[in-house]
Amino acid sequence: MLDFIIKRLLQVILVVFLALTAVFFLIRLSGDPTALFLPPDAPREQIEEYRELLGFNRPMHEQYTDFMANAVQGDFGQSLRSQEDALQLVIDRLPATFQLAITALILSLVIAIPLGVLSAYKRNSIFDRIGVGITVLGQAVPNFWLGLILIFFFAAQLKILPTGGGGTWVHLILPTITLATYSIARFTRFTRSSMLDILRKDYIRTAKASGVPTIPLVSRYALKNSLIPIITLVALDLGTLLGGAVITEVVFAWPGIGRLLMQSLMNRDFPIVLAAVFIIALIYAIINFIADILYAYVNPQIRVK
Amino acid sequence: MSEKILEINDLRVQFKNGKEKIQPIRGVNFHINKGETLGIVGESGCGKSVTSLAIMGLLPDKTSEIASGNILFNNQNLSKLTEKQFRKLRGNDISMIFQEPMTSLNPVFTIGDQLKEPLKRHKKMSKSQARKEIISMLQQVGLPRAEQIIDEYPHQLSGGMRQRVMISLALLCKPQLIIADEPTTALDVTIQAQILDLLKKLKGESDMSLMLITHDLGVVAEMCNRVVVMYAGEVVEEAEVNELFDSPKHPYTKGLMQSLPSNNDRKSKLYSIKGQVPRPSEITVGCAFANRCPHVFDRCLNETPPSFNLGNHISKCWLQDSPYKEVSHNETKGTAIR
Repeated sequence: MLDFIIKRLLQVILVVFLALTAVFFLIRLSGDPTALFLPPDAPREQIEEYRELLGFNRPMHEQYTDFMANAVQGDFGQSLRSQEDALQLVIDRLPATFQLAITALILSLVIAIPLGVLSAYKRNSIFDRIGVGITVLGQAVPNFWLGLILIFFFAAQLKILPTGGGGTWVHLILPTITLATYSIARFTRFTRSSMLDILRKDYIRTAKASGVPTIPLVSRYALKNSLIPIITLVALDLGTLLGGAVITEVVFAWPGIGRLLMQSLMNRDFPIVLAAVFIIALIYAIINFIADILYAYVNPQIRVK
Repeated sequence: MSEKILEINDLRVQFKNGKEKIQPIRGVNFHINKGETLGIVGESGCGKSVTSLAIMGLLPDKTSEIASGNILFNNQNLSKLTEKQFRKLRGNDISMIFQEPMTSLNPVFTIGDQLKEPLKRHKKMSKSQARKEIISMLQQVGLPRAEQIIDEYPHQLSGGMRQRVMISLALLCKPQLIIADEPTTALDVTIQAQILDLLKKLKGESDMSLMLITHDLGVVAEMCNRVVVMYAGEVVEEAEVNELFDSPKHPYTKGLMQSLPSNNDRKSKLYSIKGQVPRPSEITVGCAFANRCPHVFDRCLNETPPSFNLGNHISKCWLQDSPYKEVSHNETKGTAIR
């Protein structure tokens, strides 16, 4: 088990390193940030002076090694705009992002798993067909559009919910629904097909032949088997929810990492972008690491002795 | 005559696929006496497993149904039971050993978790009581280190061990009838013999009845009191085991016996019955075996033969009708020599 953990931790470090390297170079393709921080008619000397101050005039590889050397020590530099510590700024946004991601995840699991199980158990019934139809729709609708429509109805027309911002649980409702819709659709379809597959297995017939009633048969015997593939899916989605709820956070002006990342990209605030990428990659890798451990818990065949 | 534990009368099972309806079981009759081992033989696809699933009430409920006939277990009509009533019988009074031990156990639960189900459901045993019972049953079926196996997962056991686990699952509630659907087909030859010996031994220790489904006549000769031969969803012959081997009446049974490779005769080609079991949709009029039968004549193609009762020996073949009997006798001799 220790071997396994060490191996996976090395993988986490590698993933984060590669993500940072890729973003470091890609972001520099977007142009020189200094132009954005000075008035358009600033004299040439002033621009040069500013570039030297920020280190953008140095050769690329030097900038890169410097950045990495500092990053390893947890120093991602200061925001070009506000001069605050970049990593700290990102970390400050974490709770909001976590709050949104976790509520969305819980909402989708609570709805999707029973729905998928029921759909599989009553396959080809009216319920199942309507369910499949709705989930296809849920997967097809783009996030930003759904977000805007929800704002239009519940905030603009009915005026019962705020259009955006953060702070109270009321603010959480619309972004959670927006974010969860896609996950609900995905989890439901996946649970359904996984469950359908399991219900046909010989061991389900065995359990039935031992006199196990339908409800425990499905909810206990079949569900544990069908959860194995779902765990991977949940891990991937949680990673996306935590790091990539960018669009939803922007639409609802939710004060999380996604919105910060978006703003910083617009401003070419490189240190914040890199710090955010660092945190997101780290979260993503760690969640997958946890998923692997959970996997071993539900599937004894891959449990390491 | 001894008491009948199971009696099947004119059973017809129907499968639906959209508008298409087929009957893989077409009017099956047989019974099992208390304490008896009944062998059911026949090629793949002749309805042996469907019959056993019908007895267990495990036919897929959306696509299949019992079209007519009844199944009497201790004079109780099983085809009229509700799911809830049936559940009380399954694993308790009737239990089943399946063909595939490798896939018949749930990979994510321990052996103990799976074996405690029938005890919990039917005997309302406490956890510690059930555990004791399971360990003693695992020992009875000849599993070494039963105390450890109870906490292990199926993938940690070999095929033969898993089949022993399946047998102990079937036996836990001391059922009156066990249906074993090709219990040794998926196992190595040496393990097959062990499992059959085990079944024989366990059977000898109680007065339960065993319905043994197999396509292996050797197993039948070894294990059974009486034999039912099935072909294309019908019972074509039924007799005491010695009677059947000494004087098979139905050409299909004879064909099956001839198909057994013999030890003395290594040079000759292996015998096989030509053709294959017709699909249920292909059977129209006449005898279902007619297209493969070496003795086929006009009547076979036009009229379905009834079951001729020859005093404890039943054969569903026109050759048993009195006018043809003499012919059949001579012809059979001819085939045997050839």
